[in-house]
Amino acid sequence: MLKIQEQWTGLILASFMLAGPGAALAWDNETTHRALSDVAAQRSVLVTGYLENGLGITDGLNTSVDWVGGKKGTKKRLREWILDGADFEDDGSVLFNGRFYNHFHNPLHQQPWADAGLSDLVLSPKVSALLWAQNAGVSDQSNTDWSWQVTRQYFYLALTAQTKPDRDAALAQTFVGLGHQIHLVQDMAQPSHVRNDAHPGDAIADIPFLHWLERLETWTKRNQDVARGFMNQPAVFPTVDFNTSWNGLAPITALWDTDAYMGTASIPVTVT
Amino acid sequence: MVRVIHLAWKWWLALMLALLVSLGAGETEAGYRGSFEGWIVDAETKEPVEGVVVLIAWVQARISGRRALDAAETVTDAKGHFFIPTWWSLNPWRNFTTEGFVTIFKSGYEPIGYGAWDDLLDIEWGAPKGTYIWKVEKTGRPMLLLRRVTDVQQRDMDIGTVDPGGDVPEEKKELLRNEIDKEYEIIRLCKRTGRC
Repeated sequence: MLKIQEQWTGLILASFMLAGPGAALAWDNETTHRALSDVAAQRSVLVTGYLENGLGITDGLNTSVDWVGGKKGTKKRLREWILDGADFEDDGSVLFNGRFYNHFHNPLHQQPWADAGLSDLVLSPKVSALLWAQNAGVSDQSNTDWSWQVTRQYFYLALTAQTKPDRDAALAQTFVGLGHQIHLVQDMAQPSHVRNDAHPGDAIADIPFLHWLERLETWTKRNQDVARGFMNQPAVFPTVDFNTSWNGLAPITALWDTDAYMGTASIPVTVT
Repeated sequence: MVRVIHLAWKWWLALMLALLVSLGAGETEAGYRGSFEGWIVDAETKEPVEGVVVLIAWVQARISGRRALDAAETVTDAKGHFFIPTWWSLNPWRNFTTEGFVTIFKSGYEPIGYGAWDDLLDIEWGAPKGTYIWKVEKTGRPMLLLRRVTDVQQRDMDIGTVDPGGDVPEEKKELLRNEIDKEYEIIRLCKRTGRC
């Protein structure tokens, strides 16, 4: 028994010799998430005159603003800040505090969704993406908070801060926060993320002799044009009520889960 | 502790051995690190396009996800020709797990990328055959097709994801950023004045 334990320890250690900070267990952050986020932004209220006419942001999403806290570069356009947020939501280390571990939500669990996150790894159960998006029930505070509530605070500051650099920085952070939020919604379109399936094989399928582990996420990255073909289909807007709060959570909760399924559907049986 | 390190070392050696064996058996497909050479022609006229920015990012696949280790960029000459030399590391594991990702862009044209060079040549990223590749020389050097875009709305849609973002260092993509800025300025003026 001891020998088996030692072998596992060795295997895990050897694995982590190859690992480091980065992304895993998710749509590829530099291709798929960036593309999805840009398409989403281009089809949203953000390009229908709201920024220009409602907020006086003359060039809309193409307006450049400075934020010295930017992780890569300090002067970017608003749409680029969104893409950075969507990209960096996957930050963190496999071993310690990867944000990506909190990108799962199993809709079969009902409110308050405390146990709806990822739990099929050896690591302790993680927070549901729905709660992570609102920093609810998050005990590990080692990650930067890009929750909906904090993003709204940045938006408030972008409108009310006393100096232009402060307003610009807050505006950039508002859009970075928006990117983090839509990343979490995008992950709900990946079946593994809504059925408590860590799918680690997909995370390592890029390593040459492990190509056979390729699943949906790696395939999507390798076949960008097919994916972009899907993204270019007409947009479908969900019919959710943005005026109802959920157990003290913000109305955007409905983008993840409306708690409609009560576990009563029959399981289809195929007779051959 | 010594015992655990010893075990980890044994596993590491076993992994390296497995890699060598699978390489010898030809069962692996290591990513392509270069060199990267080809020609870029206008999709319609088949004339060479000068001044196209070609950026290669060398991206390592790791258990924890991909990471750009380095990048290089160039612009096409009057014949539409570009060349970026190979990249290599003293660390054989890095060489084995790293491959070139390409971005190709010139203001006024539809961008190509950001994706693995191998996948562009092999499957054209899932696009119909002939979308990006006109011809491939016997030496494997491709003639790539660049499509002109005149519709400003389409250009505005296209420009958002040209920058590979994330891990590619800012100082390694200056030519690309300049070309992107140029395109944004043209789009801005188009929208402001209505004259494109």
